[in-house]
Amino acid sequence: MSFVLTMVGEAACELRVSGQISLLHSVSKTANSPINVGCRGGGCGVCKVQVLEGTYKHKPMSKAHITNKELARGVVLACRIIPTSDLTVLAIGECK
Amino acid sequence: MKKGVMRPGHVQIRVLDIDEALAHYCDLLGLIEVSRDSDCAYLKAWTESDVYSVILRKSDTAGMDFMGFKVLDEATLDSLRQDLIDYGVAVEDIAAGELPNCGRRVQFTAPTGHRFELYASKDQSGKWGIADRNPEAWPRDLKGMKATRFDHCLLYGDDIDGVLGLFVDVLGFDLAEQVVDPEDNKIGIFLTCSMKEHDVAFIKHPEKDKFHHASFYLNTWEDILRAADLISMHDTPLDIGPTRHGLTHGQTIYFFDPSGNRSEVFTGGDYFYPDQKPVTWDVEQLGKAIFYHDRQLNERFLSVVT
Repeated sequence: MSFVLTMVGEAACELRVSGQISLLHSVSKTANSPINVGCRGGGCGVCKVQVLEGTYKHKPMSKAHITNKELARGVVLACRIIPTSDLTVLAIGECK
Repeated sequence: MKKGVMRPGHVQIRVLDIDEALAHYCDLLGLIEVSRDSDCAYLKAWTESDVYSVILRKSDTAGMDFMGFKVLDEATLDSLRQDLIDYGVAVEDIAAGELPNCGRRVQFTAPTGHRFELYASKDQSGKWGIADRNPEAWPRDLKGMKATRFDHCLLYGDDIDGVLGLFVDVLGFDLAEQVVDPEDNKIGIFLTCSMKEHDVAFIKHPEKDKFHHASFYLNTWEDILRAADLISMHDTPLDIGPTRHGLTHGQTIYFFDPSGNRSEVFTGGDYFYPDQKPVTWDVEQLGKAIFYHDRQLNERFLSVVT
């Protein structure tokens, strides 16, 4: 199963992503990932995104980077979510 | 001047899922799980004499809780405790047994925000899988990369001059290598309490208390290449390598645990005697200093920390 990812903002683009692996894992297979690739384990926070539309499953991610309030409004780490529909996403993570 | 700090004794790492972390540290790295309680798992590398060296603690964040150094004996622990107090460092005394199988600990916060502790006593189980008398060369049933020992940590924080003063003036470490900017400000410091080229290292970073990696020693370059094969077989997120560092000249590969904490396995590297001057790298050569073959910086290596 695959879905359409629509990235908005500076990294605007459209990509096909898998429903079997994390969103970051899918996009990091492209030459220029529209989302920062960091630890890929929910610990470092550089792949922080806001999901504006669509649904997903998620694994635990560090509360140092994603608060419960953020989680509730779709702010997540791309390495810890697996799409279950087409998604519209804004990249907001920064490398310090 | 050496003041009785012997070696890195243990590191407590926060993980988001204990079972996933155990698969990484035991099945992939080859550490051995020796015990577990409600919050933590206790692991050792096979050549270590103490009962454990890595503590994995279930948490909702990643990173390092603390790094512990083992000192020569209880009298040394008392004198280092007093030296810390005299230097103006607040110490916390933690009773024996609060960490299983470990004696009393003296804990403090370094100027970079990292938590460290000193202790003199921990139960010793001896090398794993081989006898104390007439030992065989190695145990036959090690897993994965067969890591031989917990070796060092690299930590990111803001006050590099402050942490250098504490480790050299109070704890008796030597500065083995450094990275300096054109004004001679220290950007990175590699500190040793032994003959190894580093037992702990710090790199300047805007935030306090950041964890870059915990490192484990392998015996040969061939073992590093085999580790790289295993990283691919396990589909483990790779950071960089196999390659050589300019700093310390160790041969290395970096990868991430399932909670995003970086692991290193390395081999080789320079040795250190206390009469050696620090090796200096200019920040303009940082690419070569970190990745001796590529000679180019990798943004992720510099900025991704837990």
